Amino acid sequence: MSEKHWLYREENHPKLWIWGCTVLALTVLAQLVIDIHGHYDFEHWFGFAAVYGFTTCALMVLFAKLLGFLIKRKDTYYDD
Amino acid sequence: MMIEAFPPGLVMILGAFLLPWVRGVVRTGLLLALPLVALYLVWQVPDGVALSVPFLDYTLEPLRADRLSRLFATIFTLMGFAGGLYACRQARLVELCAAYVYAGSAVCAAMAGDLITLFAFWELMAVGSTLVIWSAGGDAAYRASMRYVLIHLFGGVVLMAGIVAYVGATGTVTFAAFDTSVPGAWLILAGFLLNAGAPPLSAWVGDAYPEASPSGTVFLSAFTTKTAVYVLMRGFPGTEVLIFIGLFMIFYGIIYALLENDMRRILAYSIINQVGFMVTGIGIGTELALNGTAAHAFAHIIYKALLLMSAGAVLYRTGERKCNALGGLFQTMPFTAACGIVGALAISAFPLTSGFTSKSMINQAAADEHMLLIWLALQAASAGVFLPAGTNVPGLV
Repeated sequence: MSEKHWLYREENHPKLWIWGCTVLALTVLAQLVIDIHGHYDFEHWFGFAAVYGFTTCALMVLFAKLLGFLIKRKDTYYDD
Repeated sequence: MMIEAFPPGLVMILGAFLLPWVRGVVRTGLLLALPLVALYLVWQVPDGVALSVPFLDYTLEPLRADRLSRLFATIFTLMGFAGGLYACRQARLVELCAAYVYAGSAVCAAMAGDLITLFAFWELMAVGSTLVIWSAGGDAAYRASMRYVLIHLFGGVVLMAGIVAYVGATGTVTFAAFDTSVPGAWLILAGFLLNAGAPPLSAWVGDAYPEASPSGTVFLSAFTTKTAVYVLMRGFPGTEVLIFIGLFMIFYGIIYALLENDMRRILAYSIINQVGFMVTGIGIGTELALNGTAAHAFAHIIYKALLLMSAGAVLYRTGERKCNALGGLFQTMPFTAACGIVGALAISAFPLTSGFTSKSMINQAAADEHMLLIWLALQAASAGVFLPAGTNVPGLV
């Protein structure tokens, strides 16, 4: 296959980023028009889910990286 | 014997021994027919005890049905069919036979009404699953299967000791919710949890499953951990310690999957992660939590099989299982890529997928019980599942 799929073409990368970020922004803005049936009060704060989700995911990645320094071995560690 | 009183799982176990004697189309036909016959029989069993057999001083109930056991027996037979279909053209004969003994034992375990029958099929599952790993061939698979069988025989001994102590103390072999004031119940819990991939013995999942053949991994992902979820649901609903064990499993699965490069090992870790949600749900123990757990087990078996089938197809075509060596397969394997993306969306609980509904039920149950910290952890983990599962799988296909 000579022609690269448009997803993989270098010149389309900025477009993909813009579309991706727009979708993310819209999901946060949707809170302005959609009534949230949260159990806790803080769930109704604007953008709570986005901020909480991003923060916890960042922490998990950070923790995994730190753990990786301690325990990670190369893929070939057990190869004879 | 009436047809309603024939244990459906036995159809698959006995049928597995017929497979070597037939060839070609007949074998494929038998392979696909056995789980469907078993599924039909599962739905013929009436509610309550359908078969009881005297054994020593006890009465065994090898066949008992209610909504919960029927649900798990249904998904196990369906997965037997899907796995058989996926495996029939390229798996070794010994793997097919072992997988059907394994799947049939899971169905029998799900419909066992007493602890002795449960234990017998529990151990038969360990034998079947070990042979499934071993049948992939090669030194790595042999060693992995030996490590796997050691862990599971140990789990079996713990379970056996627990059952003996529990039956000795209470005098009943009926498999119902355990009285946790009896010490034997805690040994039974430990035996069950080992098969769920709970700490401290979680490593066997990520160690053994990726060493099986592509079809073998599909079979393995469906039965052992989910049978453990079933027995925990029936035996230990609302046992608080399970909440914390489940949360540990959830984060263990995410963190280790983030560090991993082997695509099938990532999926194996995400089994621990998803079973963690179920174990947490069992620990919460409310009606919504248990229904969510059952729904999540059912949905998880399907989308995890889909993910492992996609990964297996990639491995079959490329011979490569390390993520950094793969990529761009979207163009050459578009159908596999589409299946992988659907599976990744479901495991990430994307809206409109089965995983969204079932995982939301467990999370909501935590909120309903005003378990704020647990709810926050579950929400964080629900977002975090997307990290390894959502980024690697579509990334490589």
